[in-house]
Amino acid sequence: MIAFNKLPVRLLSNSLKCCDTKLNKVNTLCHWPVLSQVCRSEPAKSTHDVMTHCSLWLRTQHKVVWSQAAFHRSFVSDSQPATEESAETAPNFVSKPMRRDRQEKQQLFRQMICNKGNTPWTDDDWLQLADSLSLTGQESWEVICMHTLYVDKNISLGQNLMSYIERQGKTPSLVVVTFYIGLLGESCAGFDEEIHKYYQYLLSRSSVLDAASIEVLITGLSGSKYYRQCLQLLETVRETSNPSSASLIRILRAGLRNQDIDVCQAALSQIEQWIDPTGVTIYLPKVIEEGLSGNSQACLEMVMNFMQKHKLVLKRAELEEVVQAFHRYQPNQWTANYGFINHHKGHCSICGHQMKRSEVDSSDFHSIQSIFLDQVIVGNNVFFKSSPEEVDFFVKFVEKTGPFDVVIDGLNVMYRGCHGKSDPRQLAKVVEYFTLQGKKVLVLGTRMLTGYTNLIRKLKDKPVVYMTSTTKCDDAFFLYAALRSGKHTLVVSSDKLRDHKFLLKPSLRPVFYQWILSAQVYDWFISKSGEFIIGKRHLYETGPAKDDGGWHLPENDVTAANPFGRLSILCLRNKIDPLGSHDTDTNTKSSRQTALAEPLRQTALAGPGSSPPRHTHNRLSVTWPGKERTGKTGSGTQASTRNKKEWFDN
Amino acid sequence: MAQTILRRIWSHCQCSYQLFKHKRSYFMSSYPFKDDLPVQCMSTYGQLYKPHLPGNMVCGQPNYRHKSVRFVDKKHFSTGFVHLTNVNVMESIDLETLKKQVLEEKKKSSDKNIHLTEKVKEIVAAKCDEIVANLGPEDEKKLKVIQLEHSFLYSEGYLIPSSEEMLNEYWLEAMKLDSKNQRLKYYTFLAKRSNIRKSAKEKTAAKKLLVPEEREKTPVYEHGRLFIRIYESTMKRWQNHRLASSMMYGIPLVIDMDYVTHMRMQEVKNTASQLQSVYNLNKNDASPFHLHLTSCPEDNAILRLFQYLQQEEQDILATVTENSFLDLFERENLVYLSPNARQVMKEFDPTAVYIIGAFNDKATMLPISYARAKEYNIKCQRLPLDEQLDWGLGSKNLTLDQMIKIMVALKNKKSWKEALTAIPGRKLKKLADGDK
Repeated sequence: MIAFNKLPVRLLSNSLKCCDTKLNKVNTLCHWPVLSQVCRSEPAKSTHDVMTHCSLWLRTQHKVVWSQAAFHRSFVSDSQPATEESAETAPNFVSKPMRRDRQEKQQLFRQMICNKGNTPWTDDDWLQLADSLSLTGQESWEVICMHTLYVDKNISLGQNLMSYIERQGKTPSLVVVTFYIGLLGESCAGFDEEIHKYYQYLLSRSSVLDAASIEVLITGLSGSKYYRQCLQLLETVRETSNPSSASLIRILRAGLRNQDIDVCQAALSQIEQWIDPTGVTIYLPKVIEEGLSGNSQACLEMVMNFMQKHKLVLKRAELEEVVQAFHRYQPNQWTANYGFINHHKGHCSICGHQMKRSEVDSSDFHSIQSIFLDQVIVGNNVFFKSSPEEVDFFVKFVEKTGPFDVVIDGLNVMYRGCHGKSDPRQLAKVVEYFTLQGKKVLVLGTRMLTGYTNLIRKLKDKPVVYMTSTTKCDDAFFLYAALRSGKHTLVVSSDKLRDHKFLLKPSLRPVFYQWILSAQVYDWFISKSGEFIIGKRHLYETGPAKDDGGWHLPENDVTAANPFGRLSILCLRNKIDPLGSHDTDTNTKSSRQTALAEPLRQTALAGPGSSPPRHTHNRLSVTWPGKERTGKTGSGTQASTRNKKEWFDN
Repeated sequence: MAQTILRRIWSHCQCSYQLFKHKRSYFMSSYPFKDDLPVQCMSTYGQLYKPHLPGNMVCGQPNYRHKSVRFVDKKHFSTGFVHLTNVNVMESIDLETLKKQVLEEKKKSSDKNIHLTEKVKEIVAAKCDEIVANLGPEDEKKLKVIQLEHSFLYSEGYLIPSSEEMLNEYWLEAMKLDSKNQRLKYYTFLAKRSNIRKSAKEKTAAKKLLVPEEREKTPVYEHGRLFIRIYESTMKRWQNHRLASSMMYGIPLVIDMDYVTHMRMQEVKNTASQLQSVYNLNKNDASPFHLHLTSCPEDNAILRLFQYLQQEEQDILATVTENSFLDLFERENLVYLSPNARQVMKEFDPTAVYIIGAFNDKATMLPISYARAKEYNIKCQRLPLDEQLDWGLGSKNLTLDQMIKIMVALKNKKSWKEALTAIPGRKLKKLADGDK
């Protein structure tokens, strides 16, 4: 099987049949990525047929095969737009049950296509098919055939069928026309006028359109130059249903392909309005690819800004696809490297580009501030989390004692890393660290904090301690206190706080996320000598950002060990004009760039004094290159504490 | 108290003696009742169940025919029950008068196939037809679009009923749903349900065809039977007698019915069927609880469905009031049972009045009952599930029938372990093979 790139097509179909009968399906499927790899390496023309056969074969198989194929995403190949979409449609196919008689008929039809091979279909063939398909059931055979062809994306046979129907003098049913338009749209080009003709025909025959057929129509229209019609169709959908994510993405891609900013804008705003933006993450590599193929910077930037706003991050495999797309559409222009953002200074470890510091817009912040109490703490029912008296009391308490510089989630800090036991001394150390700097600290928790309050009796600078009645409301309460105190108040907690984010209304969620990321101290530990040390923080923008030299794309590297990610990033650099970027940069930056061009050799040659920034486990005692560097390099606690203070004041 | 119990035992013995005397003929209806029976027992005899007496009581043979009729009846239950998708339509039907009508019709004609469920179904279908006929122009357009969408989805090959199988009720239900995917889900549900029913029907038909003689045969004994046959109706009377006496002397158990607004339609249906099993399980106990259905006006959807399910019974022997439990009992005695409560129930307190919420939350698990207890400032307790069991998977929200099983067992002074056997095994941690 694997050596089939040398075999003719007919042999291939035979071998596929052998697999069908003899081998375990899943076993063959394990080789599928290998197969597609072979296909890709071959010249386009012959693989075209091979891929069609393979995908046809796959469709006749079990659901497991489908889902696995979708999992591998191995259908994606540049030479074949027909199989490109199948990974997207596959989940639909698996989820909803199909009628058995329908499946049998489809099977029959596909069998006939396989048997015919490459010979053209004649009227007699269609007649024979019609006889065999219309024996049972009320459905007309044209619908079954056209739907099967639509699913298989077999355009040439679809055209043949349509011309046959018209030759017979019958008026094709609306369903058939709809599927035909959808089928023509898959080919991406060449059928604009035909799509338009049939679309007008459809509109002339029926006054209303329904949501299900509009979805198919959008696949058709978005592939033609009449993609702007899709926006009108969306309006119609909204009367009875919600637009689906797949069709919205189709419209967005059409807009990108045709460099139409208005359509892109409309599609993105619709996505924000109707679906949770994190749901579209899997489509993003394709979208970016489309943006590159359209070659319009503005549209691409719009997509990237959308990603940045909603903090959509891609996995390594998806980033690989993006990199390949960059190489394909702008060959020999890009170098791609995976690196990290320095969490302390905010520069890229590959190119040394300084990232922007993440800032929350003050008007947005005020809107969260005002709305948080209503939407998160009170919600539908105050009693879910607390009681009206408690909320009133806490609001007054914050007014009286606030604003605070640091808000600590007492229980989270006390229980962290202690395997289910509480350690009040840990909390005491954290509080001490901040009070020594003269910060005003609020510790929030439940009655469990009494173990801690016994410890601080003798202290001079006592933190403010508030204990809630249950553990249900303490998170919401410390967030409220932090929000009331201002933008720059720190929150010490390792909680991801997503439940509170989702209680807010959708338009405010990105803002809240942005704020909490910059305000939260999540990565901290107590060193062996008993010092409280802050590790990573999300102080800088990681999101897709453009600069003179190229792009930075964040990578989704959230694991169990690193629940907040490690700030890793894909650094895409433009090869062509490195000189131009040198001119605009400052001296320090350019020197850093040249120094970092060969980091490996540098580390091998140079001593520890001038070592390049190591990004994985930067602690505060590590020295930093550049102008911020302190004189006393890496020696003694004085320097490190000063460093800490500076960082805190940042 | 003791006297009444003695009296009951005495009357029972008398009753059994009479039965024993007539054991060969199985006649029961001619038994002369004494006048000096205690008042609370009166409900047991005659008064409540007169209409039921003919039919099955004066029957020489143990009647299988009757049983099969009952079987059909139950099947109609389930179908009729699911059919009632439109509670708003259901609310406007006067079940009481309908019940009387049906009974009268049954008396007049010998046709056993007159059922309340059928009647209600007919009325609902007629009302739905009427609604569809009188739709406004906007709704009419919406219906048209939805029908188009349905035919398109059908042509895409999904397992959904064809347009001929779609009734007006279904269209009305589909119109209520917001999105295409929701409707598709609903259609697949309809198709699956009709498939299940079809196969069940085929199964029973096949069974009937196989051994028609054996089903009719009844065991014949030469000298009659050794043990007295106790008819179902007799048992029913005893159960109802117990319920009636518990309504006078029993421990109250409150079921809070004020949750309709928090539930989806299917959850309301589940709650109603669970309430039915609560009623029946409670009835089977030797000294049942006195059930209070509080904050329950007549048009409460759960109550309506419960009445509909409970149509075999003449009355529901439970207190149904519009008042809240706060008006009926003293605040100190009330204990709300909620899975989210912080306090643990240590043992069953016979002086306390326990409250169970008639609530099913499959989708959103919000601590509504806990919030309610906090709002009214009454005690709130949870069962000691964590303390007594190795909890595995699954939520700690128990269904109503599991709750009543536990409560009845606790009231009968069973241990926690015995009481908590009502919780399904799938929720508990499975013992490893080595532990066995």
